[in-house]
Amino acid sequence: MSSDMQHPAPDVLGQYADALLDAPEHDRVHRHLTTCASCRNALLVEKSLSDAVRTASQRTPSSRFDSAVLSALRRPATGPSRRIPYLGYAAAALLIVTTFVVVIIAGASGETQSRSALTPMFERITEVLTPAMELLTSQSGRLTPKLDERDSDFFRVFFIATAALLLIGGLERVLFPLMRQGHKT
Amino acid sequence: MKQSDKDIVESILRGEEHGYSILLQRYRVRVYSLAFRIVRQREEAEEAAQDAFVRAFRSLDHFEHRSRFSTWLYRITYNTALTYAKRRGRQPTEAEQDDGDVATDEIPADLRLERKELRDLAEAVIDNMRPEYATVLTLFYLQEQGYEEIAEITGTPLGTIKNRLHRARGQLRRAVLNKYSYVVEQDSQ
Repeated sequence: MSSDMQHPAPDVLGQYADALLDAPEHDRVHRHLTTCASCRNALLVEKSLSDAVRTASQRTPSSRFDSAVLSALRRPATGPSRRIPYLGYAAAALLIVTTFVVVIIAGASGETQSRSALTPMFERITEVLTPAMELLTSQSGRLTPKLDERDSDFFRVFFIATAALLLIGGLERVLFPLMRQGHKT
Repeated sequence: MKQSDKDIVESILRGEEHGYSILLQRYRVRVYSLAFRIVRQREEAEEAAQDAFVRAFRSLDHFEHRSRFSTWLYRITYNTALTYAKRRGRQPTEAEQDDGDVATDEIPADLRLERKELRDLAEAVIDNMRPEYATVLTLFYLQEQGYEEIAEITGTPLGTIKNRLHRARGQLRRAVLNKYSYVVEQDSQ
């Protein structure tokens, strides 16, 4: 075996420097180092390399790092207040539906009301809630337009409004996290 | 006597919030350094490191001491930083994709490889390494994690970890030896 083959590879010397070799291999390299000046020099390079990597890898965060972590820790785990609450959408949808029902009922009490596919349902509602509806009708009749043959337009508005709400709700789910990311960066 | 991580964690779980500051003081540099190696942007790395601490502190009651606290914390940091890096859509630069010798043109040439110069050289090489190599180097040398722990933190096979460390160290060695040869040539003239 030639003497060259006995020289440990640089990586082995690196592992020797980092105390990663098992005991027999460590002893073998150690014995070689006592007799080989070039490998001792190579070992110095490996040790310098390890030290340099240790210090070069180190980065120091800003002075406000600790306080930022501690204040974040005091905040609630999730940030629901930062999201537009879905309750708001539900309330808006309820408002639209209520307004629409009132309009239909007001229209049902008017002389110019024309029948549509949903008219029987609203007539039934009117029968059940007659006392309250009479009062409501008397008030809302002054505030809302009477239905005529164009009442299908109201259905269109209703469905468009509902679709818009669903769309806004969906977009909020997708866009709001992206907006939050944008604020962070 | 230095309080062990386990004792500090238990004291926090008993309601002693001062323990948070001790753990922060102990790991802030290492956690931030690891996040920086993955995210590679100072502000975002800081945010990722803060996020990792908050996640870890909020999950302390789930930490079962099956691994060292530091290993557990680094795993959270690693995953958090990866999320930040992916969200930013970071792509490795051309220099990082190259497995071979790294360019050392930007490193100021000097006649002697003093300690600081060697550190600067290593930093330049690590900065241009592929993130997975730089991460393994950081975990191994700065965080003093063993092969198995690094594999656990990164969810990467042990053989891959050894290979990455071998390659990363090889890149560093080549850069240092290139520089060293230059110094020797200068000295001999």
